[in-house]
Amino acid sequence: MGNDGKASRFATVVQPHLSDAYTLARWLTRDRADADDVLQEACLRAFGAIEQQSGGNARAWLLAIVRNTAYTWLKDKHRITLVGLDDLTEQDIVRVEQGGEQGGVTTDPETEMIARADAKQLESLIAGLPMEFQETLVLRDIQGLGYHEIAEVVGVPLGTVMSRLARARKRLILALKESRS
Amino acid sequence: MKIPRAEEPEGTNLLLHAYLDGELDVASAIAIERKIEAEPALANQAADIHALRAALRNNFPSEPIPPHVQSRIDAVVSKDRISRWRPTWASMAASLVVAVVLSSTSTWLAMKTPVSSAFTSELIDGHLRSLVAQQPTDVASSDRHTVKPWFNGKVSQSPRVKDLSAAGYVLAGGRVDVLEKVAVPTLVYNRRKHLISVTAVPEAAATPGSASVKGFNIVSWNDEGVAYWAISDLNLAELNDFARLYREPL
Repeated sequence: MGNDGKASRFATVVQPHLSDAYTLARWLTRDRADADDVLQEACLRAFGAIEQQSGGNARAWLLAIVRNTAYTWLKDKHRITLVGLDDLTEQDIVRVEQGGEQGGVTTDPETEMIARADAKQLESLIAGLPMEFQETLVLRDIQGLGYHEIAEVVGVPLGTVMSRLARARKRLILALKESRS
Repeated sequence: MKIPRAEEPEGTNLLLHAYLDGELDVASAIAIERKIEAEPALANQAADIHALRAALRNNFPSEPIPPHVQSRIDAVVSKDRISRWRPTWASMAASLVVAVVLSSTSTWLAMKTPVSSAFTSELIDGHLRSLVAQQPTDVASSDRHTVKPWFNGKVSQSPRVKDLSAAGYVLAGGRVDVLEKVAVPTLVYNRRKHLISVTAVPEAAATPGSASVKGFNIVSWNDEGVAYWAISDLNLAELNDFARLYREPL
């Protein structure tokens, strides 16, 4: 494929999903300038591999590239220490997975608390989640991807997507309820 | 795939999320609906998840990609295409520096601000992007009343857009370039088969003059606090003529 052909493939395959790609880059890097760099690098990779992309889900393909680029970039820059599930102690994992299970029946005012959460509060709570939970939550609840798409982007089985999403949400819900003062 | 089983508490939990996300088949969805009706705790959990999803959706609406980022992505594609017939950008920038040094007698665009060679190569970068792209402009129109408002919100100041078609310079449209990390407006005109890029940088100053670099002629001038650079492969006499007409009061 000539470069003209590659450029027109890029315009068809990548361009429609650039906004989604940028959103993901912003969430994973938590910095607009960093997100710019990551997106540019990811597009360079996507352009290089555009001939391999045929059929399939173009959005999931591009977001997987953005995700890999972001993690490589963050590690290279030593910008943050990525806290993944592998780094957590067994005790932490139990706590994470149970989400600090609480007894009793939820009351309406607490649900109201969740609905009224603002962007700043949500951002800081999401940032406190392990990366695996963060990315799953962002892809589903902010970017609106389906479970199958998320599984493709992250490269894990569907069941893993489901449990990560459920746990991520549970942690946010509990934190928001606790934030009531 | 390991399918969560509704008989297990954890399974019910996962299926509840999947149900609210519209990921369940009809039979499983009905089964969960019945469970929600029968168990108040599950109904409350559903309400919480619903509230969280709404909060996330409302607080983080999707945003269109900013123009300065789009320009960088366009450059990625263009650069790769250009590299087949042009030297790399690094070597090109280097030769530009050499050209500046050697042409001490000529009136090089000695920019007061900004002066970096990166700026110069970015300037030419933008013009090349228009030359190689199938679509040389981000907004294509020969109507200045379409082009000028298009810049609103994309750059800090819309450029002066002049209709010079009577003189044979036909407006092709505009694009947003990124110079020194600032989004600036560039107008594109056509003269026969030649493209002319006019970049307008507010609150900057260029030393008026002209230069020939790597086959491109560059003419620069200042007007009402805005620095202009016109770049083209058009001959210098015609480019100067264009600049003169462009500068004439409206």
